[in-house]
Amino acid sequence: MNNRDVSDCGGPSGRENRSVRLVDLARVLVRAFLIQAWWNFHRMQNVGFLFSLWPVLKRLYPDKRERRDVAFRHLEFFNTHPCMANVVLGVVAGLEQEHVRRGAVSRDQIHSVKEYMAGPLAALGDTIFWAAWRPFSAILAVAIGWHFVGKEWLFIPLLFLLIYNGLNFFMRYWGVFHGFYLKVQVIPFLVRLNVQSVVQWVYLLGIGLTVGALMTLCLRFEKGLLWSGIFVPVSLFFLIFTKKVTSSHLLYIWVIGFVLLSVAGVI
Amino acid sequence: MMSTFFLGGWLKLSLIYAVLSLDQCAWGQGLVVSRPLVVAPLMGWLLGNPALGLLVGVIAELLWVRVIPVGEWPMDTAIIGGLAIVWSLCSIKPGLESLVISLMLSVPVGILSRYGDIWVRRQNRWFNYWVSKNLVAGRESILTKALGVSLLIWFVKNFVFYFVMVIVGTALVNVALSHCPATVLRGLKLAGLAIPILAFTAVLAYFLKREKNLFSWTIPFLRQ
Repeated sequence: MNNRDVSDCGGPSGRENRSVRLVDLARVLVRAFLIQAWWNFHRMQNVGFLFSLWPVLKRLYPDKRERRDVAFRHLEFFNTHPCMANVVLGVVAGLEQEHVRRGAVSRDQIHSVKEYMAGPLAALGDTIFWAAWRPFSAILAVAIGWHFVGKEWLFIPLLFLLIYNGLNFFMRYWGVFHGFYLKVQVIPFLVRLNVQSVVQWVYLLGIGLTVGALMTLCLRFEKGLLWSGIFVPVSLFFLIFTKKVTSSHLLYIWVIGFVLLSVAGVI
Repeated sequence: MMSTFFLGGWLKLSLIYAVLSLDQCAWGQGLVVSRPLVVAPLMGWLLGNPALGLLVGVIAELLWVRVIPVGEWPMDTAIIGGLAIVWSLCSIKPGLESLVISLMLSVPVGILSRYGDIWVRRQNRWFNYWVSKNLVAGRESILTKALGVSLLIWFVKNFVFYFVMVIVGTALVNVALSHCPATVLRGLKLAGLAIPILAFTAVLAYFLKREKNLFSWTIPFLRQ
């Protein structure tokens, strides 16, 4: 820590007893669901971050003027995955407490940690939640719910919500509470989890489930396996090996193709 | 099904959609209640045909699996699912034919909806100035007020857009259905049977593209 950092440190006498309570962290957890509400192209989640952290700031800085200065500083640029933002919130809450009680952490250090954690956690969150867990939850819910279709129509959506949000809520809870206690040590902890390897297994399971569902659908297709035999490999080829052909393009191509074949009397 | 054409019913559906869609722009963003797999079956259930709602939900969820809500994502798949089912069930001939026409028409609306989101997010920059100015002045309640205003803006935007699109789209689907000859309708019905296969194929392609170790696991000599 250089001289400037030392001069910037908190921790004057009388502040040692200030501590964040569990109820404050619970409030942060609930408020963090609204982190995207003010998302803007200028500073992205900055207002949402401040709103989420507010119960902690209110506890640690009872003096309104001091709290105003700290809050103003937290209005800087911030953007990460909405679920992984809870890890940053937990860590920043822990560091704010350290800053107030012992002065062991400077304000600049708090903001550096916040800034440097946001990017990698955004990438991690996008990979885990958007790229792997969301499609896997959908395909798993459809595969399991298939047997119940006809009896309970809302079973598949409910199962999808349950599977996805199981991990989502756990991560949000873990982020705030463990982030608070582990502080920057949360980073090596996340590295040790070897998320990339787990995600690859999720993809592999997804492939297995999708192949099973696809084969069942093809066998049930009114026009028989011959049409599916053309339809599926051609679509797979375009979707895997071309970048410009998307699912939307294929939707239009196949519909127009079926209509033309029907008009021509081929099918 | 004609009984569902009344304005009050569409207003109710728009209100439900506006609340659910807040998930993707304002609260949560990760609770996935705004995903088509949730929105479409719910709309179908409210309109009395949960089976078709589920089919639309599964198609929209899986077909656009590559559309990840990161950065400037290309389209709003929730509104695609939410509109396609309502247009289809409120049409003069609910079924696979109307469903295929509705899906095709709802894709451009999904893209248009994203432009609306981007516009609102551009306006959100005023929250920065508003919150900063009031915090400096010592008015801490500004955060709660700003939250209310933000949620209201998103809600109104989603509600109005969905409601207008339900009216316009239903009329368009009805015009298309009434002008289609029988052979075209037959082709549309067959396409309706094939689209779920396309949706699952899209998911398979997505997983295959992302699974990097598949070939090295399945073909042992490639591991060398």
